[in-house]
Amino acid sequence: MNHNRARKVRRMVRTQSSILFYSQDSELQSKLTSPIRRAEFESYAPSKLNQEFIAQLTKIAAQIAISALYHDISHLKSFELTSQRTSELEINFPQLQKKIKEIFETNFNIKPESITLYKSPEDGEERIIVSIILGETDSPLKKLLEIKRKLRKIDRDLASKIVLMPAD
Amino acid sequence: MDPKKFYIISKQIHKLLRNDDTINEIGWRTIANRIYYYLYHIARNDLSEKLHQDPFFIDEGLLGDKFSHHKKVIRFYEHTSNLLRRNRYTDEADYADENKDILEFYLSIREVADYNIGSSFQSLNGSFKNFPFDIDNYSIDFENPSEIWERLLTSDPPIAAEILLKNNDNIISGLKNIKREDVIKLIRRL
Repeated sequence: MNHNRARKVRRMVRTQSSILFYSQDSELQSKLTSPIRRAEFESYAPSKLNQEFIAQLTKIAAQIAISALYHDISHLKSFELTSQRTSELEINFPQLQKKIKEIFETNFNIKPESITLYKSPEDGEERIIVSIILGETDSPLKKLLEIKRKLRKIDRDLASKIVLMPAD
Repeated sequence: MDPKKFYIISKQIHKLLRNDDTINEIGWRTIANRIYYYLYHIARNDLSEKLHQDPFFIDEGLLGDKFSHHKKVIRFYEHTSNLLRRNRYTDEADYADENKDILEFYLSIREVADYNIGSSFQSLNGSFKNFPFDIDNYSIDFENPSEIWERLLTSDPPIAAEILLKNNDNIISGLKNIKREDVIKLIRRL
């Protein structure tokens, strides 16, 4: 088993472990504890992890998904765990908020209406949504792109984290 | 299917809204959804076609696989910008950044339209904080969109498509100066 595969298995095991930990289903817990521990151990000893075992693990993942469908979602808190994990962007957000406000006021003479840390509901990817008043324009998109182009010249890294939205 | 049909159906929905205000909110949310896929497919088809041609000759199967998910096209623009910038093609890198911006912009609108529907669960806490999908408190008024929002979702999408295609041309011109193996490596890693 190559390194990438071992990494994938470990990631899968970690997800399953957190589901197990947060699940209040004792039957599910007893069903999963042993194979998860085995996988965690064996993914660090790749030669022992064979195709058959990966297939078994995949089957368990499917069982978890099916089981989750029949449970009250409040019993399954791994998603909440993911959303509560503090990201680097979240930690730095107060400073970034201040910086964004300063840049907009100084360079564009615009006071942002709101600066929101937004997390994609689909994959948890984070972006900072900055809402600004655009005023009269035939093409709000063109105006937003123009501001974004200037913003990129000022601070490219910061600009890559920002999605500009109209507030009007 | 021609990706323009995503836009055509959004225009039909827009027409319907004029005669039936009971479907205003769901109508605008559906338009936001269709517009994103219109732009994603326009960008993706054009990129696939260009990268399959001389001098890249990238396998159709690989392109189909790698660009099958919309987020991967966005990631392509992000990685391509970095690659072009490393090789000092900064203008071309800016075009890649801009395409990423356009897709991320309409993607964010689409996500808010599809997920942030002001459900009873949301109103319990005033935000989605305790919901598995943490969408924070950003919202868009799809029930009564302002003129600016109407333009963004009706007259601006063809402009966005035009910019995406024009930028693709510039990005591809830049990539022609990069080693073919590096371009393939970038696509394989998506």
